[in-house]
Amino acid sequence: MPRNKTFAVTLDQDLCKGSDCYICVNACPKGVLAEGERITSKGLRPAQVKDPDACTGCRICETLCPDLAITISDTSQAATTVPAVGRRQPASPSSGGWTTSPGALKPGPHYMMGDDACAEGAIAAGCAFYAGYPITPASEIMLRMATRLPETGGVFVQMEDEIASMAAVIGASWSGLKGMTATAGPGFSLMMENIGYACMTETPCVVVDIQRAGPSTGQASRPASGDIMQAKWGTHGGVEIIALVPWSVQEMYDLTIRAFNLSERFRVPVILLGDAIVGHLRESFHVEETVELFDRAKVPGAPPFGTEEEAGVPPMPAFGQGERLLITGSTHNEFGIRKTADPEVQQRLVRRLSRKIVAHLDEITDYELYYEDDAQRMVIAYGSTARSALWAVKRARDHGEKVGMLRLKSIWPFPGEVIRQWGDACQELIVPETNLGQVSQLVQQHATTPVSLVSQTNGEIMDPRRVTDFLLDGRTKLAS
Amino acid sequence: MGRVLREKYTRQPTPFCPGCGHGIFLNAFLHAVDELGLDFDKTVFVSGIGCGAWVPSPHFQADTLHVTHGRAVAFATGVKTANPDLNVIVIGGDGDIATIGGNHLIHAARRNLPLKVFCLNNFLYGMTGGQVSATTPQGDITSTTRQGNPERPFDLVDLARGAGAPYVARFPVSQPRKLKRGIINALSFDQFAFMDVLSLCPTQYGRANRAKRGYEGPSMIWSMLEHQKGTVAPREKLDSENPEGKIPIGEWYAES
Amino acid sequence: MQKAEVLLAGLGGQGVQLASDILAEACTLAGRRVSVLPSYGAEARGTLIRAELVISDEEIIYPGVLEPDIFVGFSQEAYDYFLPALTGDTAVFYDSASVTPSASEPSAAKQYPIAAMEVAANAGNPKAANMAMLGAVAAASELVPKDALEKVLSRGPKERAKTSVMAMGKGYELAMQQLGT
Repeated sequence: MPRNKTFAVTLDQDLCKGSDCYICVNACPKGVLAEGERITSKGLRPAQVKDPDACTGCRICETLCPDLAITISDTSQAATTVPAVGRRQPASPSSGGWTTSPGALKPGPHYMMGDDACAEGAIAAGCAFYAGYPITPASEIMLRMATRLPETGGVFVQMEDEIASMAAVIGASWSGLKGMTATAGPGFSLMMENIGYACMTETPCVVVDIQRAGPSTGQASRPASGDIMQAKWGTHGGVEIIALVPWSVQEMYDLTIRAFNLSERFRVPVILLGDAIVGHLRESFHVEETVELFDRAKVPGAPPFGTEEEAGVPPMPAFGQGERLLITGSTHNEFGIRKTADPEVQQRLVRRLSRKIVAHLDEITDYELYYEDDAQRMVIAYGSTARSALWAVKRARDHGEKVGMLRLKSIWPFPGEVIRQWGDACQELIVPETNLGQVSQLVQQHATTPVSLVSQTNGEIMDPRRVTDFLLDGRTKLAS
Repeated sequence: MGRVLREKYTRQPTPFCPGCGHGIFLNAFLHAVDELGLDFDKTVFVSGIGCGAWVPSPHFQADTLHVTHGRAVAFATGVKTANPDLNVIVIGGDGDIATIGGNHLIHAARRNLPLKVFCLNNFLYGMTGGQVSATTPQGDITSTTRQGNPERPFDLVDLARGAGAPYVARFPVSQPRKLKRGIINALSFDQFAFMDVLSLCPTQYGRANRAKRGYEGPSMIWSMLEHQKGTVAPREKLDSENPEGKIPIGEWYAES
Repeated sequence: MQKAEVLLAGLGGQGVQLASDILAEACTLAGRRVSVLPSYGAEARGTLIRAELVISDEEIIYPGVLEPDIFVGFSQEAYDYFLPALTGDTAVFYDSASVTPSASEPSAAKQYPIAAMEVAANAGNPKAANMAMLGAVAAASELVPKDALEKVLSRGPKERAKTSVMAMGKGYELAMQQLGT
């Protein structure tokens, strides 16, 4: 049969992996390709083009080569030119930063459940994506988001489990949306691996944990604060984390907004640690006329995983902007290129992930003081327990006790310096907690004064009389 | 085409073992992408952990999200629902997608978002040392089933179809042109598409099962490819009878 | 400072949580501060549940009920569970159809039976027994204005609103008769 076409066979020997493959040598029906003779510096013996004139252009070698090392071109046609597709389309530039938004709810007083206020806070903060899985006592957040997101142009997905929920929120964040999920203890445990992924890939998102009495299934609808340590140390590897602790329906709203702002500001997952009390509690709260919002910077072309500053927060473009992002949970350089055996890159990355939070402690830390002026003893409290504690402090003061209170609104990074100062200024620090002493241990680490724990682990709101008794008698009974 | 595909769509050569079946898939996939004219600037590849997951990340010149083990389909669900204009493609291995991530796979099939999921099935865990997976054939040798796998494997086509996937396909890397055609059909399909890509792992699977399977000759991967061709047959030919127990390949569209 | 603590308790499905929300909304309408702390088990129906309300003119710090001014027992289980802990300062209302008051009466609480189920049935909606109980609560505390309750109850579908308001009014009357003596 007359040949009316001729073919050029090119085999890139730098790409060929040699004799353990040789698929092309075996596949070629015409003996065009053959075993190689030259051994490369990598110790491989790449295949060679031995009889190019015999090529019929069947291209089976080109199709099978696992390394795209073979190119067959029809020389009777014009040379193949590679179009310039390596270009980058510019991302829609946005420098991010603070803006004032009108908010989502009517300004003024509202009466609702803490879980609902959390969902409303998210909507006000610009949350446009929610993925979740049902769990008591957090389900009401999901229920409200399922209604509110479609109303506000957002996306709601109920996933098959909490692992998938966390995954979907991270995926949506890289698609450019502010995302959130909410859960309780068992689901929070399942989210841990992907929370670490969010830390490593610097993905802004909000995770709400409405804490319930554990361990394990425990008491599904009953409150506790047993997940404080888990929030920071639950994911492997050891990272800094930001966690906020609301004590009221008002703060379920306000601190959810703040959680979104901090997550966008520092490109981190932010955890809102509520509990079954503030989640299910219904009370009035106030909605302001406007909301201050922070949005991530979307700067095209800049390295998305590194800055000149040791504590810097790099810009974060979204998918589909032509940035060709490389995002990975493996150790990576500033462009996202995996460097899984480079000690310097690992150290620099881990350090920056930590420094960008620790160096901004003042900006993150949030607390309130009560009756601190004459306080000889200070109660350190957080979350719903702080309401019982403040009630007790007032009673104790009625009895002439000079006791004040410091209420933590942010718990991670732990404000050790604030604790140290108040420890120095007082004779005793008292930490009431609905766990076996997670925060009291932290307080002890930072204070030079004696620290007392008032612990209650019966699945009920902290009994304010227990705290009062301690403040008046200086003793407490262990939880039965 | 090799050079064209490399320069248009890849960042760097792969670190895969010589003759890796995943490389043949990568080749067929890029042929399909080029033929379709898929816009890589509007395409996100999501992949988990394992050799299969390394096909897109860090090799493809597109947005790539390289995530935790088994969760690629779940991450992809977030990416796609948050921005439906993106082409969202999941590529991973049988360990990643069908074993640890099996739950996400069946739920994605049920949910029927227009995701494309390619499971590069090499019948074991390659990267971590050749352990048994949910698709290892019964009796085959792996590093954790030295006496032969006592458990039955998933048939991923049946699994995905049973979960409601409207497009399911199975093609072997030993038939790259059929594979490419299938990839084009999967990528062009307007709903959820799943493909069980019969891949090959010469390093872990080939060596362990060399004696049992009779892989011979100086190029073991070639022998494996030849063997694979002999174990499959178009599903149309097998619909009436299948006396030799061949693995059906082809495409299954849901009757709408 | 004006403050009232109200404890509502019954079995899941009896409308305890709904009653607490309506009460809270009415108090909010009247310009009071209110908090509702619900408490229930994992089951949706049939277990002992409670709602703790604090109504106050000032900011509510501790949202739980420590010394209830008013206790409403919707079921025998709820009545038996909470009564022993109550003091003489608590006004106890119970549904006389479903609760048999304890013979020994270990607590010093003042007790008022309200024929709530009967009232509700007469009003045309047997499920409105909880609304009759709300009327009784309004009678027992000036912090809970009856007209605000009427306003909240009138919001629902017309027929339902009518029976609810009627049941609430009758409960209020029954309680006033007893409280007055």
